[in-house]
Amino acid sequence: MTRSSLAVVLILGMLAASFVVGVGQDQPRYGGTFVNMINPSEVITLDPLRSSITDAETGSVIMQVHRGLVRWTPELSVEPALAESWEISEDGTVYTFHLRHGASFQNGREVIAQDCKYSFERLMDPNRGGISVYIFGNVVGADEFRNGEAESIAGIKVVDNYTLRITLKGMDLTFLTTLGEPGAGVVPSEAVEAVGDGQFGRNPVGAGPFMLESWRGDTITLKAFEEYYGGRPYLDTLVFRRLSDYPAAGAAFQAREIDAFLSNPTNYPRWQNDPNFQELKVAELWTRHLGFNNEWGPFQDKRVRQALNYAIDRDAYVGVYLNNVPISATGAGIFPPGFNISSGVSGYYYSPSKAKELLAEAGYPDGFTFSVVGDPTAATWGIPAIEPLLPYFEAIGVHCKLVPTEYGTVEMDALTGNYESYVDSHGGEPIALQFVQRFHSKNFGATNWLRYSNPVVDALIDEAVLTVDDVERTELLGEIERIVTDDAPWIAINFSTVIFGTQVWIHGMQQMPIDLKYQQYEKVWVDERSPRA
Amino acid sequence: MLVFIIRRLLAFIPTIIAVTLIIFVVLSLLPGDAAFVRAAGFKRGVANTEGIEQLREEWGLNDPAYVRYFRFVGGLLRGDLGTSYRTDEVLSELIKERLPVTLKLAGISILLAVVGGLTLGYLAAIHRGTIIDLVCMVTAIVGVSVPEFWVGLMLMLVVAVNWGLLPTSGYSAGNILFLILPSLALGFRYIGLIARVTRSSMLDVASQDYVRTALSKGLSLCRVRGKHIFRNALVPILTIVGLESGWLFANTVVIEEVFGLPGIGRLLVVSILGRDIPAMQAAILVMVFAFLILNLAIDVGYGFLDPRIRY
Repeated sequence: MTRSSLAVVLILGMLAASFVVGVGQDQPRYGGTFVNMINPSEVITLDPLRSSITDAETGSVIMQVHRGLVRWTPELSVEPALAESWEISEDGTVYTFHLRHGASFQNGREVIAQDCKYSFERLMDPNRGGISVYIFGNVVGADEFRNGEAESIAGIKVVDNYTLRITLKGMDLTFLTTLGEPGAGVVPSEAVEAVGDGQFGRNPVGAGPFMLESWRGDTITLKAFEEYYGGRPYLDTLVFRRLSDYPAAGAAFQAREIDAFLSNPTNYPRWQNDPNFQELKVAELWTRHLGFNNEWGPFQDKRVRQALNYAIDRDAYVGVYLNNVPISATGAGIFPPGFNISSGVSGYYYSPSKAKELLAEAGYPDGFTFSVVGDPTAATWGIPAIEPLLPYFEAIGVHCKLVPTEYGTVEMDALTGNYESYVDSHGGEPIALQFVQRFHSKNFGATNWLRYSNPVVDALIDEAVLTVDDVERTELLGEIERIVTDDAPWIAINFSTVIFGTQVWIHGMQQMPIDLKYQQYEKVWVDERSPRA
Repeated sequence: MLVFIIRRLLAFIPTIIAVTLIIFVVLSLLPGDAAFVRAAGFKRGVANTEGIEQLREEWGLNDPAYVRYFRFVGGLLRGDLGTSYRTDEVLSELIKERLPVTLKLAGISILLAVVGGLTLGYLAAIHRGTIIDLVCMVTAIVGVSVPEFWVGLMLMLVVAVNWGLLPTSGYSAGNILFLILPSLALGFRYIGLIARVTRSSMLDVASQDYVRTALSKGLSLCRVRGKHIFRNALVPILTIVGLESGWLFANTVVIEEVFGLPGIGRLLVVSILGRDIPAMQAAILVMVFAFLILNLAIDVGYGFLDPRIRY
C-alpha cells in the first residue's frame, strides 16, 4: 500500500490500541491481588467474639471476612447487609429484620435467622469472653442471660427462618449503627463448634466477600468468596501485610511491592506531587486535643481553661508542623466537621492578650505549671504534638511539663483521674450522639476522660438520646456544642484527616470517614498496570 | 569432653530457674493490666468492667504471686508455655512458627559477620600500615558506630528501591532473598567488632617467638599465616563472637521491626505493648536459652581450637 495509507492505518491502529488500553483502565475487571499494609498494631483475631472497636486494624480485616445484619456506608449511615430490610416500632424498641434469601456462609450453608441469634448470644455469653458486649447490652433479657439466670436472651427472637425480632429495653437511636460493628458479625455454629472458640479466630467462617486463605506471621492472605451474596468481589486476592512504620512502607510502595499505604503529615509533602501516588484524603471523626482534668487545680476554673484555648495559634500549628493535612480547630466547636453539625458556634482563636487577661481575672497573673501525659511516639496525637505549642504557653506565663507515658498507662491514669492533663485523639464513633457521651458526667471512668461535669449538658444529652426527629436532635446537639465549647473542658487542636496513598492501577476506593481502614474492598479493582494484576 | 558438656547442660537448670524468677518479678512490676488492654473497648460511655474482670479470672491474674509463679514453672516443665493474652494462640505453636525466622536471621548474620570480619581483620593485619589496613579499620569503626536500623533503611532504599535488586521487606515463607538485607544490616556492626579483634589478635600472635621460628624454618609466609598465626588468633575472636551474639539476638528485635520479619524479636515488642505476659515470658526464655546453647557451643569450640584447653 502507499506510504500515506500505511501511515493512516498505523495511526488508526495506534488510536484503536490506546482506546482499548483506555477502556481497560475504566472498566472494572476481575482478578488481581491487592496488597495492603497494616499499621501500627497487628491483627489479633478474625473472630467477631474477640474484636474490639478500638482496634481498627483487627476490625477492618474482620469486616472483609464477616457480615452482620447491617454495614456502615461512606455517608456515616447504615445499609442492608445480611438483613435486606427492617422495621422499627413506633416507640423505637422493637426492631424486625428481614434477612435476605440465599446469602451463604463461606462453608456453603445459607444464613438464616437462627444463625444471628446464635452469634449474638455467643457474643453475650458470660462464659465465652466476648469483648463488645455493649452491642446488645440494651436488649431485653440480656442482663439475665449474662447473670446466668436465663438460658438465652429473651429479646432476640427467631420469628421464622428469615425474620429476626430484637426488642430493646428502651429507645436507643444508636442501636442500628452499632450493629454495623465488627463484633456483631454472624457466624455459623457448626464451624465454631468444629474448632472451638479458641481456634475459630484463626479458622474463621463468615458471610463476607473474602475468605481466609493463609495467615503466616505478619501477613494475612484473603481470597475471593465466589458465592458472596453481593456478587463475587473483583479482586482474586486481598493481602494485609504489617509494616512497622513509614520508611518500610514508603520503600515498599516505591518498589511497587504494596498497593496502598497510610501517609502522614510528616511524609505527605514528599508524596503530594508524586504521579505514582493516588491520593485518597478523608476528614475523619477524630479530635486531637489536650484534655484538662477539670477537677484539678487551676483547671477547675473555666477562665483558665478558656485562657489556654486563646493562647495557641492552631492555624500556624497545622500549617507549619502538620503541613496543612488535618483541619485546624480554630473557631471550631467540639464536633469534627465530618458530623456536619453546624451549630453556629464561634470557638477560640489566637489571642495571647485575651489569654493573659483571663488568667489574671482567674487569679493567675503570673501563670502556673501543669503537666501533660501522652504517648511519646505519636507525632500527631502524642507528646510530640504538644511540643510545638510550649512556646505559646510560655508566652502567657504558663509552664507546661511534658511527661511521656506509654499509652496503656495514659489510659489507666485517665480513667482514675490520676493526671493533670493529657494529650490524645478521641473519636471513632460513627454517630455524634455517641461522641457527645464523652461530656456526660455519668461517664467518668469510661469515655469522659476530662472529668467534665455540667448538669445542663447532662440533661441535654439525655434528651437528645431520646429525640427521634433528626432536625430536633441536631439542634440539641448544636446547643450542647455551644455550651461545652464555652466551658472549654479541653483544647481542641485539630481534626484528623487521613491520607491513603494507592498505586495508580487501583480503582474503587471510597472515602470512609469512620475509618479509612473499614474499606469496602469488594468494590476495589486492579487494572493491568499492576505487577499483580 | 562429654562429661564437660553434660555438666554444662546440668548447669543450665539453675540458670533457667533464676531467669524465670527474674522474668516473673520484673514483669509483675510492669504498670498496666493485660486484661484491661484486651477488653477495654469502651463505647456508649461504659468501660467494659465485666469483660475485664472475666479475663482476669480466666487468666488467673487474681491469684497470689507465688501461685502464679508455680503455675508458670509447672507449665514449663510440661512443655506448656501457656496461651497468649493478646490473641489466644497456643504459645508453643507460636514460638515454633517464629523461632526459625529469628534463627535464620541470626544465623546468616553471624555467618556474614564472621566471614566478613575475619576477612577484613586478616587483610588489615597482614597489610598493616598500608592503605588496605586503613580502609579495613575505617569500615570497622563505621560498622560499630552506626545504628542497625539506619543501615537497614539505607540498604532498603539503595538496594531494594533504587536498584530493585532485592525485596524491600517481608518474609515470604523463608525465601533467602528476603533475608539478605536484614542479615547485612544486623551483621554490619559485628563485622566491625570481629575485624578489629581479628587484627589485634593476629598482630599479637605474629610477634610471638614460635612464629619467628616457623618462618626461619623456611615455611612459606602463607602457611605460617594460615596455620600458625590465624589459628592461634582465633580463641579471643571466638570469645567475642560468643559474647556479642547475645547482643545480636537482642538486636534482632530492631531489624525484625524494620524489615517486617515475623520472628521472636517482633513477638517480644508486640507483647510488651499489649502487656501479653505469657508471650513475653516465652520469648525471653527462648532468647536466653538460645544464648546459653550458643555459648556452650563456643566453649566446646575452644577445646577443638586450642589443645591446651581441655575440660
